Amino acid sequence: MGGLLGMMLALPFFVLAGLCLPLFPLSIGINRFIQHLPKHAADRLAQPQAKALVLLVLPLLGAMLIGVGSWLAGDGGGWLLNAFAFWGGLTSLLYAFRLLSARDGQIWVGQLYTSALALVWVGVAHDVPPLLPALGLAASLLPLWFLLDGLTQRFGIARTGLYPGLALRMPRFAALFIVAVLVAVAVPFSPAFFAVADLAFGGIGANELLTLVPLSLAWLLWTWAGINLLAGIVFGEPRADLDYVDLDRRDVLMHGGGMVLLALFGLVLVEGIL
Amino acid sequence: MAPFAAVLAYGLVLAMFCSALAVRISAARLGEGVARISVAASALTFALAVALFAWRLGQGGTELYGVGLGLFTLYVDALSTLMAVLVSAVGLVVHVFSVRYMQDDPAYTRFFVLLDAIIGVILLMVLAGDLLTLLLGWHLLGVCLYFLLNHDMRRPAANRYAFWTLFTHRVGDLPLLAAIALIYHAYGTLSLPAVFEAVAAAPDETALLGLPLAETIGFLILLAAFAKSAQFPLHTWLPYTMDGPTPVSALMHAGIVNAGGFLINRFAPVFVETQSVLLLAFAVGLITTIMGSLMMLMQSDIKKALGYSTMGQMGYMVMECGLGAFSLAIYHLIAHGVFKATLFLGSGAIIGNARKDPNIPEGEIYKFMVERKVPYPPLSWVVFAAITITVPLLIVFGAHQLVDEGFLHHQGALILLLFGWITGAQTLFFVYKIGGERPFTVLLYVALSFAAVILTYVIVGHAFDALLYPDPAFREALYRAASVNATTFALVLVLLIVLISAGWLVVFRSEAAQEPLTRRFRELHLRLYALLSREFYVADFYSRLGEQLLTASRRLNAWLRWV
Repeated sequence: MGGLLGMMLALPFFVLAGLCLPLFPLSIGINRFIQHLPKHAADRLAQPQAKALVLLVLPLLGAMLIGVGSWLAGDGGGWLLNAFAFWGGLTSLLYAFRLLSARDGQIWVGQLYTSALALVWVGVAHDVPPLLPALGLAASLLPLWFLLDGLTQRFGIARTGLYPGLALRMPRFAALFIVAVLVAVAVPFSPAFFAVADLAFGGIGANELLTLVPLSLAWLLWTWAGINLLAGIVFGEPRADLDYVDLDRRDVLMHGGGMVLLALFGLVLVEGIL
Repeated sequence: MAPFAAVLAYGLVLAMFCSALAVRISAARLGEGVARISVAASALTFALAVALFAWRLGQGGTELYGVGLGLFTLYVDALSTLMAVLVSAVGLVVHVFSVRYMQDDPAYTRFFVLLDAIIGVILLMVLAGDLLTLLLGWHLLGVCLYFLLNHDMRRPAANRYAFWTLFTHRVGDLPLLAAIALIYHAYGTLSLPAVFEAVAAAPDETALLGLPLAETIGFLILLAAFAKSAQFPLHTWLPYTMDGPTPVSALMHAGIVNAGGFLINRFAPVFVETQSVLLLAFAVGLITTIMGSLMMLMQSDIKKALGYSTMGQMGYMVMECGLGAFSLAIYHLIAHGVFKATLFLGSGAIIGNARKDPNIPEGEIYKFMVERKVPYPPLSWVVFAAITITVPLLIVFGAHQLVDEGFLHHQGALILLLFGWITGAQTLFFVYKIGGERPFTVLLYVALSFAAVILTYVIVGHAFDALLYPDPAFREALYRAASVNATTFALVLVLLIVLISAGWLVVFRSEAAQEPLTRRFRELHLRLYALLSREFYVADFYSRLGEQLLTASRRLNAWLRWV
């Protein structure tokens, strides 16, 4: 394929992919979905497990749609992909910046998900295969997603500043929570870290500034936001008027095992890079 | 079978990580006895590092070892083994000191887990044989430090300054990531020796916006080093991080801040191909040295004063790199690490003793500082000024001449000589200012001590040259990369010497006339004092900027309804 017709046909595929690898304002949909609370027991799609599945499936779908779109656009579609890369970079920065003030757990995850996945477009424009980085970035959010759900179950809401000092009252939970936040903000050895490296190494050949500016700034802002999240939940003086229930050994093993699996997936990504 | 050196190298990195794990697992059973595991692992690491260093000295050359992945390769050369010895030695001292210092601390186990982990990470970083492993170590160092500084989880101040530290370190990670991406794109490899070979083979490659690749990479590496080594204006995290336990301060000031100097040295084969980027290191290092030293003089808190002293020393270290004296910077960071660790670990006892007995022992310094009594010096100010200006100059010149007759050809060496001269003159001026009953004896002691320090510095500096950069042509090329136009340099140097000498003469004259400059220019002095006491408003500026960004983020989120 290729030519003007090819590009016209590719455009809807890219736009649809922009729903999965969210581009602002198409990203509003996925953020609404993540923030949607179940109104009744039968509202299965609003359950945390279902949402987690959606968070993992959307990048796969997005990568597939991009593959089709790229095939349709052919060799002449470079400028179209560059435009989407620019759009993706701006979306990533917009959501990373907004993430700084997010205090609610679900809003936090939604905005980080958008900021991270939008970065995949930066790589796509420069021939970086989108599947592994997209999966790596999405999967890195899952431990935090489930732990935030654990907070919601314990305290009715997952929000920073409401119940600080969990490290002193729920040490097991806090330890896992710290690791989960670090994994989410792309600290080594999380798959997100290697995904960021993959996008940087792959994208820089085509356009240094378009690749490095959004990647670097978004990564920096994620770190800031991650520290804010830790400061409001893990550190600080614990409240005396709450009941604290720490994780039992089985839960620790389950979450810890999941994170080890993620680290192994990270190593797979490294071998993909090298 | 794996080569002996590979076993040593991987052993010394893994020992600390295994120790962290063992401490965590055994905590419930051993209680505070877990420190024994940690100290033993630390001692083992030190022994392995020394063995590796000795092996490298015996064999010469460099070796790259891997585990079959693209990641976690280790590079055994003079720089990495020397740094491993320093890191493991400082780590061992800090471990031993912490056993009793941290006793009865509720987070005793967590402290040792993190201490082991951070030493392991630093060792991984200094021994890294590929750029991705280097980035991993560089990145994780900031993360581990964040949690160590947050040791007292209840204190908001500890949390705030730990955040500053991590954020600044992350700012330093970004240029390193960019440099690595550029290198990978240009040369298609992440292996350090392969990269150095490729840079030497094709030094004129271009990259970012058509700029020379070596220059661009050098610039990015310097930015990364500036953040980790607290260079102005990325220095604010260092003096404020005193809320962490004292052993962490010692580790940070004796080991972690040196990472910048290490990184610049690690990329020496890239810097040797640059034309002008080292001037940036010189300029930033110089500004940091002056600001750190000035702000150190303003502090009444001993630990904060030490913090600013570190900033000044790190500035000097980066400046040495900027002058092409790469190996001297390594010697400087080792010497600084040793004395700063001693000072930090001793600071707690000094504070404790001062609380018990606040009286300053009587003597000349007591009379000068407390009673403000300055005995009139027995010599005329002209003679003393002449001694102050000429004696240090003769010492630094003579010491260099003794070791390396060709030093006058290196612009960098001349600048360092200038700094040696200023330092010596400043010390002698203090002898004049403080007066005393036996000024000639004190003068002699100061001159002899200064001569011993300078001579040691020069001799050991040359030994480090031979160890780290044995090829004289490479050393020459490094000095050349840091040089400027010879005529301009000579003119600036002469002007500086005249200005500084004239400055000393004015200061001596005003002191002799009992009319200190601080009184004559009182208004200017007070303004400068106010500016320094607010530390040039740099930290205030960052705090304000951070608050405004958070407010803007909140407004944007409210406007977009948080979706």
